[in-house]
This record gives sequence, C-alpha cells and structure tokens, in this order.
Amino acid sequence: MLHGPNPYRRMLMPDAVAEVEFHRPLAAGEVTSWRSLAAHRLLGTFYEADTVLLPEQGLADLRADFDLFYSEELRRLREASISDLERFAYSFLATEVDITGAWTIDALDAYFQHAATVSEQGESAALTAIAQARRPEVAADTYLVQLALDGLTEASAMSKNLGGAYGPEQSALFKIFIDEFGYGVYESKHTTIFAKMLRSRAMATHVHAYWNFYLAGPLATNNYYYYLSRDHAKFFRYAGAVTYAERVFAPGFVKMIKTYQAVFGDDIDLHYCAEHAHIDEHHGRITREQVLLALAERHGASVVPELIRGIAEAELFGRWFEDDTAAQIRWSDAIDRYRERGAAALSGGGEPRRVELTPVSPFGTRSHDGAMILVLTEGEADLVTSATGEPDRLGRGDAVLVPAGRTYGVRAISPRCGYDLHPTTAE
Amino acid sequence: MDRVVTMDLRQHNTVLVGHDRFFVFRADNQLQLVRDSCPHRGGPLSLARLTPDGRRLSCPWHGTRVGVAALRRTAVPMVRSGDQATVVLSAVAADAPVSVIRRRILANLPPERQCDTTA
Amino acid sequence: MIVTASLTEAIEAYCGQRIFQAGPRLYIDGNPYHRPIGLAQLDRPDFTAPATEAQFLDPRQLVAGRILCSAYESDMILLPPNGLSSAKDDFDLFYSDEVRRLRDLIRPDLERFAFSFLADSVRVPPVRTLDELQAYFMAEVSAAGSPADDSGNNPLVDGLAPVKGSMRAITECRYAEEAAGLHLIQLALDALTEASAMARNLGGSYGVEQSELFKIFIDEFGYGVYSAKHSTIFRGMLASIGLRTDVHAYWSFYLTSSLVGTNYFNYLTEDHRGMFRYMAAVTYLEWLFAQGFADTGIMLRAVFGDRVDTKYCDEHAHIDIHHGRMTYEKLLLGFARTHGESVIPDLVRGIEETKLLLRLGDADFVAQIRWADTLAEHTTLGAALATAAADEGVAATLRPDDPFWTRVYDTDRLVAVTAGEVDVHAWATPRPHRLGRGDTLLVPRGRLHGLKAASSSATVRVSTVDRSEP
Ligand code: FES
Ligand SMILES: [Fe+2]
Ligand SMILES: [Fe+2]
Ligand SMILES: [Fe+2]
Ligand SMILES: [Fe+2]
Repeated sequence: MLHGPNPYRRMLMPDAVAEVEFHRPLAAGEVTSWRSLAAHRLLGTFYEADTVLLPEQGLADLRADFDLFYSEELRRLREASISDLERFAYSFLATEVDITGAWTIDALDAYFQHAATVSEQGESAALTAIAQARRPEVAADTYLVQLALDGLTEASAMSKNLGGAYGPEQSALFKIFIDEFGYGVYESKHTTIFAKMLRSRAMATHVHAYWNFYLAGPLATNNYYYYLSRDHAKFFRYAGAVTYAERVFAPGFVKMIKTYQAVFGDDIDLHYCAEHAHIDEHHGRITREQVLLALAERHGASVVPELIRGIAEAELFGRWFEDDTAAQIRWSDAIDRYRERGAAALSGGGEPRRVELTPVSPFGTRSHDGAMILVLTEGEADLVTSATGEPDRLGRGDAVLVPAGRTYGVRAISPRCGYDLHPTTAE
Repeated sequence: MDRVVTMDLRQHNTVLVGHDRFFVFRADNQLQLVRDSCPHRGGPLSLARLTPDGRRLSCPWHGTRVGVAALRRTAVPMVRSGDQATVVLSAVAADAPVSVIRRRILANLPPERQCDTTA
Repeated sequence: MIVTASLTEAIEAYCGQRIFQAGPRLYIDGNPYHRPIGLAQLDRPDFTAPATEAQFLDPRQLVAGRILCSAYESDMILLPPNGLSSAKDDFDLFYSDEVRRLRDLIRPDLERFAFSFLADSVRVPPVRTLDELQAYFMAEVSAAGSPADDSGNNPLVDGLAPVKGSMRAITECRYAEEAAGLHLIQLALDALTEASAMARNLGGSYGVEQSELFKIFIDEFGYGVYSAKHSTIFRGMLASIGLRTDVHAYWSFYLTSSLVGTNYFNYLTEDHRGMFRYMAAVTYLEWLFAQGFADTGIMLRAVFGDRVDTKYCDEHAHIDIHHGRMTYEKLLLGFARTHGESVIPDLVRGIEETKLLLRLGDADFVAQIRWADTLAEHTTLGAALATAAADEGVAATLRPDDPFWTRVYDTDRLVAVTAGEVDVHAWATPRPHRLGRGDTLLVPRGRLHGLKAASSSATVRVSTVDRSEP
C-alpha cells in the first residue's frame, strides 16, 4: 500500500488516467474529482522532476530509477505537456477569481489583513472532522499524510523563487527560507522535524511513502505553489500567495496542536507544529511588510492586482485542502454507513464497469468524478480508504457507496476477485 | 527604551527581537537568555553542539569554537521564578517586533561524541 | 532530437523576439530582459554539429552562449532595482509562454552543441575509491596553486603573494583600468545573480548534504541581510570604480568563455543528472576562490589604488577558506560516502570539466585584453596586412543610431574604414579606439568587438586575412 523508500516511484494508475479527457479543463467545482486527482499526481511529478531527490539510504540500487526520473526522454514529455496540463488544472482560476477596481497599497494591505483574520477566526474543517471522528487517530493520520506531501520536501517551491536578482525583497524571502532550512543544520530543518512527528506516530518518513493517500485537494494546493514558481511571469501572484500562507500557518498550527493533543495526549511529537505556530507568526510579519507591501511599493500599481490574486487564490486552495481532507475523513470513518447506503441504493440500472484483481495486482488508489456503488462480485477484497486505518473486508455481494471524489484502493484477498462499479445518483 | 518580556520556560526557549535572536542556554544548572549569534558571522549558536570537553560550542556554520563562558557573558537581564522568566531588553526600538517562541536548542544537549565534529 | 530545419526555425524565432534584438545603446540599464544576441553574425544558424574544443571561440559558441544564458535565466526572477514600471512589457515577454516554449524546444540541442566537447576533450582519470578521491582532489588543488594549509582541510591563502596569470596580465596592460573593468564585467555575469545556479539544487530532499550545501548558500545570500548579500557587495565594488551595477548592463561585453563557463553551472543544475558533477565543480571552485579572490583584490588595488572597494574580494578570500573546506568534506566526500563509489567518476568528471573551462576562460580573457589594449598597434598591423586580404570583403554602412551589438569572427579579419569614422569597442570604456578613413584594424579570430559610427555615416569593409606566414 505504501511506496518503498524510492522517491522516483509514483503510482499514477495509467489505466484510470486514460479515462480522463484532458481537453476539457477542470472547473472550479471539480477540484476533488478523479480528473483532478489524476492530473495533479502527474503535475506534481513533473514539478518534482525539477527538484533534487535522492534516497536517504544512498543511491546505489536506485541509480537506474534516478537516471530514468531525470532522463531526457521524460523531460521532453514533461516539457511538451506541462503547460497544457497546467492550463487543464488551473485555467478556471481566471474566471473564478476577479480583481477589479482601483487598488492602492493601503487597499492591498486592508484586504490582506482581512483575509488573514477570516482564516484565523474560522475553523479548520479537517480538524473538526478529526475531533468528531469515531477513530480520531486514523483521521489525524490522514491529515498528517496530506501535510507530508509538502512537509517532507518543505520549501522546495520557495527555493525556485530565490534565484535571480530582485533586491531587498529577495533577501526578505530568504530570511524565511533560512528558517525552513533550519539554518543549514540538518537536525533542525523543518523536513527533519516533520519526519520526527511522523515517526512518533510510527508512520513512514521517506518521501512519498504515502503517495497513494494524497487527496486531490491537497495535491492541487501543493502544486499551486509550484505552478506559480515555475513560470516567473506569475511571481507577484506567488508573493501574494506565500504571504497569505505564512500568515495563516501560525494560527492554523495552534489549532492543530490543540486537536492533536486531545487525540494523542503526549504520544505524539508536535515540535513541528509548535515551531510553525511560533515562527510563522514571525514569517507572516516579514512576508507582509518586506515582501508583499515592499514589492507593491517598488514595482507600482501594475503588480498590485497580481499580488491580490495570489492572496485570493491561496485562500481558495486552503479551503479545498481542508474540505477534501475532511470529506475523506468522514467517509472513511463512517464506512459502515456507506456500506448500508450502497446496498440500499443498488438497483439494476445501467451497465456497471467490471474490475478484476489478484493479490499480486499492483496497489493503487483512485476516485471517481461521480458517485459510484462498488459491489464485490467475486472473491474477497480489502477496501482501503486511509493510510493507517484497518482496511474494510468486503465479501461477495458486499456493496459500498463511494461518493464523488473519495479516494480508495482495493486489494484482493482471495486468489481472484472482481468488483463492479455502478454509477449512482444516491449521494 | 527598555522593554520587559515574560515567558513560560516550559513552553518557550527563544526570543526574537527584530533581527536579533536570544535563546535559553543551560550551563552549570542555570538558565540564561544569551545571544544566538556567533561572533564570526552570526551563526545560530543555539544549534551548536558542545565540544567533548563541554567548554565550548562548535558553531554549525563554519566551525568557530565559542567558549561557554564567553557566551554566558552575552546574557541579557532575566529573572527566573519557577517556570516563569522575566526578561528586560535594553535599547530596543519601540516598534521592533518581539516574539517569544519555542525552537530546537542543540546547545543544551550533552557534548557531541568525538567522531563527527567539524574542523 | 528536433530535425534541423525546425531547430533553426525555433532559434530564429527565439532570437527574433524584441528583447533579444540590439538597441542603439552600448550599455543596458534598468532592463535585465534586454539581451542582444547578434544572431546575424552567423551565416547559417546551424547548431547540429557540436562545437569542438578547437571551435571554442567560434561565433556559434558566442551566440549559443547568449541564448543559453537567457534560457537559463528565464528560470530566475529578475526585476529592475528601480521598479518594473519602465520594463513591464519586457518582463512579460521574457517570461511569456511563447518564449518559454521556444526555449524548451531549443535548449537540449544547444546544450549538446555547446557542451559536448567537454566529454571529448576531458580524460577522466581512474579515481575509484574514497581514498583515491581525497588524494586526487588534493593533488589537483595543489597543482592549481591552492594547496591545503597545515590542518590539511583548508585552502591555504597567501594574501601577499605576487599575482600571476591573468591578474598579472591585467596589471601589465597600458589601459589597466579597462582591463580590470573587463574582468569584473566577466565576473558580473554570475556575481550579480550570485548563487542562482546553486539555488536550483536546494529544492527536493537529499539529506545531510542538502543542508551542507545550504550552509554555503546562507553566506552567499548574506544571512538574509540585503547589504551583506554577495551580489550587493559586488555592486559596491563595481560602483566604487564607476562601473554600472544593473544586471547585464554590460551584456555585450561578456566573452564567449565567460558565457560558456557560467552556463555550465546552470546546465548541471537544470538537468539534475548533472548533480554530482555540479557538486564537485562547486567544491573545486570554492576551494580555488580563496586564493583567487585574494589575488583579485591585490590586482584591483594595484590598478585602482585606494578608491576601489574590495570588500567582495576580501570577503571571498576569507569565507571561501571555509567554503573550500565545507564543500570538500561535506559535499565532495559526503556524496561519495552517502551514495557510494559509483558516483565518484561523475564527481571527478565535474572537476576535470571545470579545469578545462577555467583554462579556456583564462586564455580567452588574456587574449582579449592584450588585443583591446593594443588596438593602435593592431591598426598599424592591419594597414601592413591590407594587401594580404584573401577576399574582396563585405562592405557595410554604419550610422550613430544603429543598433549596437558585439561579435566575434571565426577567422582573422581586417576591418577597413572606407568613409567616415568608426569607434571600436573591444571592452567597456569611455575612450573607444577611433578608426578614421583609410584605417584598417586587424581583428584576430575570436576577439569580441562592436563597431559604432563616430560620424554621421561611415562605411567599413571587412575582409578575411591569412596570417599563417611566420
Ligand atoms: S558564523 Fe559561526 S563559525 Fe561562522
Ligand atoms: Fe516550515
Ligand atoms: Fe514558514
Ligand atoms: Fe560568493
Ligand atoms: Fe563561496
């Protein structure tokens, strides 16, 4: 179910990706769809091919994978398709977010402060779902998995904004980067303390161990920062987005500490959260004053709407991150109820799609654009809906309702097994 | 202007004042708030490890050895009462932002073993 | 591999962008996006056959160097210090989808063109084990004049050593200030965006070595304090002797070898398979910089006296002692330890390639200053050779407001002024060499120069000359 310690390996579910029509861009309401999940897994892989990944245990046995991951062939494919894929994934932003009117620097600041306050006062959908879960530990792990997506390669997108020459604002951004990198001391690098948090939960700490469990919302969010960092025409949007993110992290982590202490007591190392709860307050200040407002000051009115756009979009993604994670937690946590609903809603209907598996089939996860009823028609299988929870055993005839966008994997237990997927409107 | 900052030592170990950093350093069973800045280039002494003899810290940036005694001389006025610390910061601009935070302090760990030290 | 025709077309389309066309000014202020490429100096922009080492100074390398530099830098953030307002359109174009698409299309082939000779020219010695790597490295840096000090781990720096090589050649120039300026301009190519290539190796996850690289980067970035950033103190050095400080203000005066050398580091960091070569190359350079910048400081003070601000040199003469040690112990040896001896050949190759590029760079630079310093003599020489012209030559008319760009030729040429007056810019100077009607200048192969009319109109005739007789 987990990926081994090989940062080049990513299960993209090629067969299921083939279902996606890439010529029709995602709409704002589709961020948690299968189309979105498939595209963002690919996009994230593209972006990370522009970062240096080496396995902790040394390259020795993985040299061939390293060479392939960074090969000219894959690079050509990536460069030939990345712009289109970005358009597919993000073009809806241009219509979803509009910035109009005459903006001043003061107006920019007022808007920013407002957005930050709203976030600070609002609640985190995912943390609420954890607190309300029947199995809060599993739910809490699900959230950690989403954070691991970025946490184990933290600040990689930011590093793409350090090259070049853009004056004091570049130095200000670098001050934040120094903290992310723990002053160059490996033990205090944020990725290192993130790994400690995972380890305290007996979770795997290598990059993308939990690849199969990243949800579309968090992937889209993470990729969004790379998207703004790859093409520097979007630099001012990046500056807006990163300022917003640094500002809302601090109160976010304060809430997270509260929830996680309630779930685990002292059985978890929350140093990572504590570090961010504090330091990001500081970062929030630096980015606002010395990046956001300073850029507006230096480069003038024409860049202000871009800065605003970054803030507004980052806010949207922040919400999708939370909502998607909360929805997955709720579904996985109440799977019994979805089994009943699946059984109840099952009524002949159209042609189901048939899937067959054996115990040696590679494990992968996916979601669907619309709701599905999954019915086991042959053998026995495990339904996997979380990284650390006990899978749910399905016997012949068992059904489960998979709402649109919920991510799952099926693992065969019997030598042969098969299931049908019935599209349904029962959501 | 002098400013007074309080902190709960169970939760906090670092004070940020504008660009300056101070950390709670433990030596001879006494806690002091010292400057987190190597005399060479301002490296983070809070992330330095003690030399095997326990008398100096090796700066993580370029390996300068800073004497524990010298570091203690950088301590700022502080009163500790139980877990509560009250710090008086002198000559601090009135608008310099002050944050009290918790960070990893490697300088308070036991001395590093001989093998993996820097020059 | 793209078929030739479409590669050529893509290159033409790329170079045809407004920002890559020459304008009337010699120097470019406040606009880091404007880079005249001078594609017109090639009869045919054909980059399919890689340049050999012997062709290192050919115009194709110069043009490829300018294109690749722009290609790599569109992956960095460049903003003019006084605000974007005046250059917003050029900013948009520089980072546009269209320019990027073309860039992606041409980059791999241009890299093959520009860098293939390294593999052919460099013999990678058989270094296999960690011990051999240590011995090899120490032997190499000693041979380059930078042995280790008594501790065995730090580069030794002698701040009083008499300067040698190209630094000495500068002090021996008649126009030593121009020669020294040209040297700083070559450094500026990288120094004004210092550590940008390194920044490409900060993303991702690769353990302790990543943190060790970052420690170096912290120094380059001046601990996040803008006034201490190496690029800032470099600007201070430029300003102290009256040079411009904007990124690529002297775009037209970068020598071929400087472009190829700087591009090499971007090349290795853009394609992460070059990672190990990069780490070794950086180690070798950081180690040599300690003495190298001590020498540069001595040279600058000899040329400019007290008015030059050498903080940048002093900083590197000091901090690169540390960087030399840190990169050697933690990166070069660190990667070999963590990832095994199978990466050692890559590491060694990085050092060997860097050695070659340094050697070619020195030769190019010294040849340029020796020529630029003696344009009067080369005008006399040109007159003597005028009858030896091997062909009719090509005539051109120049006007003062013509676009200014610089070029090199792949053979020796004679530039004869047949009407009016022409200024020859072979380095950045307020006192260019003036050619009057009837003057003929010998321009040796590979020498960078630009011409500007000094009268309302001027005509030049450029012909090939064969100087193979003794
Ligand atoms: S900053 Fe501490 S040794 Fe350089
Ligand atoms: Fe962080
Ligand atoms: Fe942060
Ligand atoms: Fe430097
Ligand atoms: Fe350096």
